[in-house]
Amino acid sequence: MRKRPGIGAIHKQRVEQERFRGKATELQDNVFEQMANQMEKFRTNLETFASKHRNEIKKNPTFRKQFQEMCASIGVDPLASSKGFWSELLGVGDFYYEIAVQVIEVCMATSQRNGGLITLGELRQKLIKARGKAQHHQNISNDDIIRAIKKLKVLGSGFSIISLKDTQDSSDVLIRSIPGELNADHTEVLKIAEAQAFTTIETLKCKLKWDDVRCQQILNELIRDGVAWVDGQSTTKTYWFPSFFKPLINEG
Amino acid sequence: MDRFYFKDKNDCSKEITSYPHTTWKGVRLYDGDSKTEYKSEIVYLTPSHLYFSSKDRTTMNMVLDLKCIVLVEEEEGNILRSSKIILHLLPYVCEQHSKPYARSSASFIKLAFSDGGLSSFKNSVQKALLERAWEKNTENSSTSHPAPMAFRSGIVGIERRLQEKVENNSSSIQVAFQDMKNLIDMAKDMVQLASVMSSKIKVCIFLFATSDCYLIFLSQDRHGDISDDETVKFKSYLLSLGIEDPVTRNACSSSDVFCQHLAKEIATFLLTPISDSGGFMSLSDAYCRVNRARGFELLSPEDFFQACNYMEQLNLPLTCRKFESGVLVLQLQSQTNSQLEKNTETLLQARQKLTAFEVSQEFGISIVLAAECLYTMERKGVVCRDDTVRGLMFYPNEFSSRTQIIRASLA
Repeated sequence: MRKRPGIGAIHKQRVEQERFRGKATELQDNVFEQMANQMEKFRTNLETFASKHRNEIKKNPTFRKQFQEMCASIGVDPLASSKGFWSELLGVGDFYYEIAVQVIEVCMATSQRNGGLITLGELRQKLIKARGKAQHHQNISNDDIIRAIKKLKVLGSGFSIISLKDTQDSSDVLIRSIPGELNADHTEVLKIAEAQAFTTIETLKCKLKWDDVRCQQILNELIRDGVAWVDGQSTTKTYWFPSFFKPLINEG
Repeated sequence: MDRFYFKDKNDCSKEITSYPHTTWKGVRLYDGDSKTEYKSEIVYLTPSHLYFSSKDRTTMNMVLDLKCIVLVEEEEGNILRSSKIILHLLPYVCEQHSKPYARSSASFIKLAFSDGGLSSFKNSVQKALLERAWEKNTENSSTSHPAPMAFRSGIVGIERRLQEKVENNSSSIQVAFQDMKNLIDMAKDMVQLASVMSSKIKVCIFLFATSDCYLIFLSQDRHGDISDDETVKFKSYLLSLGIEDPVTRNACSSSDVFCQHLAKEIATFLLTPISDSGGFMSLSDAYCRVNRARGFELLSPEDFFQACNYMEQLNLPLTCRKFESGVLVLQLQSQTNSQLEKNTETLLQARQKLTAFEVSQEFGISIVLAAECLYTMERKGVVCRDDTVRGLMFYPNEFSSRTQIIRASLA
């Protein structure tokens, strides 16, 4: 056929291209959806296998490695068994160790964001989400988590439970996973306060992108150690750092 | 229109009459965009063919195989033009038939329906295309037509190939997870499939993110990537650093031997992560990492702690250290306290005055650790404190050095 000159042809070409693109996205869409479905199937299968055939998997070392690789690339938690009678009664055994491992994992994964402080409620939510979809993975109570954390006592006081109030409400219980010795937050706060010799929670929240609890906790510790002083006269509390006073006076 | 061919009316009458409800009259044909002489055709749709008959042709019908059709589209009309159906066709496949058009450069044909029925035609054809009745026929007569669709290409080809792949994967997943034995046999393939799938989905997400579909995609529940959840991602990372052959209590003759082996295993595994994270790692973090790497062979916190205590004895590159506060960490052997104290002393000589904050900033350690280092040095008599309202400051211990000088002069 003769090649058509003019605007019409260009327009037509564009329409055609548009159509091809449409088809391409449609195809992509389809493939993606199917792939996602398969992945979901794969995941549920792996989950059931992990809890059902655990002992058999343990016995076979090469397969164990392969199974773990599968879990790693699909995002399944191989350690997600249900609570047995004995573990509930005696509080021993793999179940609470599993939870403990998962609890630490959640804390480590979120520590970038929250500085190692997490409420029990959030911790539980994340833990359940990471364990998997099956029903028995979901039956983790706050009490289970607390028990698991208590199992970690032998590993030192680095992992601790802080009750903000004397209630059992899960949003008032904090889990602290980074001990002071390994916590760089204090240094961060001091760095910010250094220029003006004081700071406020608002400033910290804005500059460090921390939440209220984290800022307050660090400031409280600095007050406790005598590094910071509180000034309650203004509408918002200001926190002063006397160790930074002198250079300011000298400069003035 | 070169995909059309002629067929004797008698040959097709049986097929046509068995589908009486799929007939359209007054159809005009276009080859590409140009009008043809076929102005008023009667179209019959059967599961695998489209037949075009006309009063002008007494003996022959024109036939178009449905397998040639890639895509059915509707072209909106306006005041000047009627709406039309566009059939996109596969490239020319030479077959031994006489044809109305020997060659045509257009890859599509258009149909105009002067007597109506455009949308019903579109729906029926699409339905027939989905059912793919002709594939069943060729299966039966595959001996007579050796691989008639071997070189399928174009969009439908791509579509089909993708579909095939997906189906293959689906069935192999199903087989593999039937029981334990199957899974063990197929483990290698499954590992590969798992990693391919997750990486492909990541690519898809990337494509989605770069195309305008991003918003649509976001609105769907994101079950694509192994997860957007930080914990799940982190877990995958931990799991992927496996320990090949974890030490177990059963394999060891005594509890002592077990702990020693375990200590070695932990030290080897954690050496890199601890060096990367500044030389310290809390015992709980270490516990989690080691257990994840071991997979199913969970350690109890007690065993882990015992093993860590053996480290110093075994001269491993890591040691377990307890802080005053009761916090336990694993620490690089090379980065012991004495090293830190030496560095602090040099810094103190340069500045003449130090706070814990300065030490922490200088060496990239936490304030608590810096303070602890200064306290230890104070106990050893290297520094002196000045506890003021401005905070705690440390100076070089002139008392001891002066006393020594005085003593030397007295003697």
